[in-house]
Amino acid sequence: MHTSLYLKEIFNFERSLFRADRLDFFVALILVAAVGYAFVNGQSWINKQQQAVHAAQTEESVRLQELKDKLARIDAGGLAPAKAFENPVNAYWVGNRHAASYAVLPPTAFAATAIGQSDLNPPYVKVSSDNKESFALNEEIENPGNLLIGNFDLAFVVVFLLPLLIIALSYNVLSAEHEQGTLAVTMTNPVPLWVLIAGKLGFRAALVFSLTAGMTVICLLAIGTDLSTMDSLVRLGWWMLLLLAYILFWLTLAAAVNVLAKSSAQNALMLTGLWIVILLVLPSFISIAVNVAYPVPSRVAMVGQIRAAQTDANQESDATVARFEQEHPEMTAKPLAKADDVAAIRKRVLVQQAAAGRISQIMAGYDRQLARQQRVVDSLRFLSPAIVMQEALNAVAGTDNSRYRHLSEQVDAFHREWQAFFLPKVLENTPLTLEDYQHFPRFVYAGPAVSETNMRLLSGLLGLVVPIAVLYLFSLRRIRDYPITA
Amino acid sequence: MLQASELTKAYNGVVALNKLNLTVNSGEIFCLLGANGAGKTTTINLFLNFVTPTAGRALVNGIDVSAEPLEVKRHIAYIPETVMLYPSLSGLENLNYFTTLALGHKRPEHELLKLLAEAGLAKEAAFKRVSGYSKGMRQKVGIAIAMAKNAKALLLDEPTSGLDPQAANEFSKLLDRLKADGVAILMATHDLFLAKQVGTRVGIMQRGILVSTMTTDDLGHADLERIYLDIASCTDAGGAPPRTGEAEQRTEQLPSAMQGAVAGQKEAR
Repeated sequence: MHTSLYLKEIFNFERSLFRADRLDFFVALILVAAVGYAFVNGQSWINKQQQAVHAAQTEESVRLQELKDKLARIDAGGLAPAKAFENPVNAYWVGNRHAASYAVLPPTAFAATAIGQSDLNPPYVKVSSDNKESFALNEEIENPGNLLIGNFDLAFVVVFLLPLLIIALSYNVLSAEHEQGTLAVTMTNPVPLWVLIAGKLGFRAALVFSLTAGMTVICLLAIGTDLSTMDSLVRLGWWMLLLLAYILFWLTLAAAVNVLAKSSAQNALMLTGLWIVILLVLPSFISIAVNVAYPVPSRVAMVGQIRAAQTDANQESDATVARFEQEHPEMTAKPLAKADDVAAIRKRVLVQQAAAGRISQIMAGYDRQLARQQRVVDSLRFLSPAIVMQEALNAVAGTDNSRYRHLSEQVDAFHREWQAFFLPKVLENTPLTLEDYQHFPRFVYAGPAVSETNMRLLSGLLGLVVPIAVLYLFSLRRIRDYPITA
Repeated sequence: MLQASELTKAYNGVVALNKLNLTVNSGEIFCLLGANGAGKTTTINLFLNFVTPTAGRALVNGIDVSAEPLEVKRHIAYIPETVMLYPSLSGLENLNYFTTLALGHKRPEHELLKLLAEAGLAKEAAFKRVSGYSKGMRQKVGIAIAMAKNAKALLLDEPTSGLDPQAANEFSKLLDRLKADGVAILMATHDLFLAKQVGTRVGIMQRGILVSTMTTDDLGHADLERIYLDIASCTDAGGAPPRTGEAEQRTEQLPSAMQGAVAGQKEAR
């Protein structure tokens, strides 16, 4: 009999055993409930975020339209120019306050599957012509209790709960056969022991994978995900591959523990211990190790340094203005509003620009330290398949750190573009026109290159496949010495 | 069909089976008698490749068990002392699974039911969960599993343990039929009467050594039960099994009734 036929027979027999004990029903019940609830949670999180984004964008749109209307009435002579602060032609106040624009990170089609870093990073940033610190340090405050507990999303179900289910189904996959004596009856037939364990674990893999993957697809469709786009299909493909690899990792781990020929109780203890190590101890250890080696830079210290830089720039403001007027005699005040307002605004912008260089250096140093820490975390994540899986699922969902770094880089570029549009007009004291309003810079998020995301996901997949291969080889080696009889 | 050549098994230096030389031909039933720990089950486990020999070889149909364990398992069937089955499935489902693993293809249900009936299991019981079976009923399914394989050699380890007298009698008849069909049967048993009834030859083991082999004709003249009890009492008094190399010397401590038999075996080597 060919090995594949044995595998098929053992696979089918396992299905009969599960049916007889109604195990398949209970597994399905658990997975349907867990995946369904996770999707409800994930989608409600996305809805909450998107409601905030929608409100912000609506507010921006209304605000901009009011400015345009006001300007049109002024141009038509129906409305007298207001104070500088309210004047829609004033490039400083418009660029710095009234027309400040939201840079929005759109959710991916799979955003509901992993909340990831989205509870720490807001999905939008209000960009103005002010310095970067005016928006870069603004973050939404999330309930610290929620951050501590974590979110019950699909990634949580897969990374944390699925291994427990797999352990419950496979901790005694061989030891029970040994203990109840059926192994001896089976092994009098020309079936290699590895085929027996592969068939039994293969059925468990198929059961858990098909139920989790099937329920996920149903939930994705239920929340209105368009799975016909190439982007969605690629994400779905990666998600399925990662899920399969993660399930296989835990099953090969169960196999490796089973071939040690301990009792079922010992196997359960060992696997539970390994679950704790892989999911709790190792991530904590990595976090502590990284924080000791590369401590998180102090935001308080950074803010203090920024304020000191602003104070220095303020103290040097007279000299800065004098140097500017000397270098740009052509830029004299035009009768925009009161001359004092123009001088004050120009002074403010010049001081702002003088401080910007020092502040950007401070913030760049902070970012470099964070990036260094992140690089170390990226390397150490391979110590725990659970971290690898969580990171990979975040990447599929578009809620990983790298996507927020991309957002940050693009917001920086947009900020520079925004300043380049408004600040020359401020310094030249050039009034804004309706034509200018049509050409305000707009932010359009461009995600990381597909190849970059794919490479990251591929490294995650390899981070699961390598331990699977090691555990497989270990099991294959140890299984030769497995005692068939007591 | 079954052949042991200098077959030895030691566990951590403790000899469980010492240089066993044995041949069981087709159409022959060889009964291994001996006290607990004498090496009977070790012998069977070696033929099944459940354990690997420390020295020597076990051959089934001329094939070395250690070299080609899977090929060997195509030729042998096994009934343990207690046949353990999957309790949540019926006897028929258990038989179907093990038969498919043995043969590489499924046998029709009516054939399986016929096998179970031959083994003595009622048809209505065949469809019930094994969890409700008595030990004897499980044993009958085990017999059906072994019969379904149509093996050339049959290894039995206390096969009638747990069977009621009628079932045991039917089992004896079944063994006679298999013998007539040319199956080589090696049976480890404590059941002296069964051995007398069905055995072609009987071997007595003590501390890992086959100390005596007799034909059924010899059995008629010897007081098998007395000899066996002598050996048992010797084992009980003897303490730990011998370490490698000690076994030859220890045979000298055998009861006087067995000395000749041991000498005969040494000559045969």
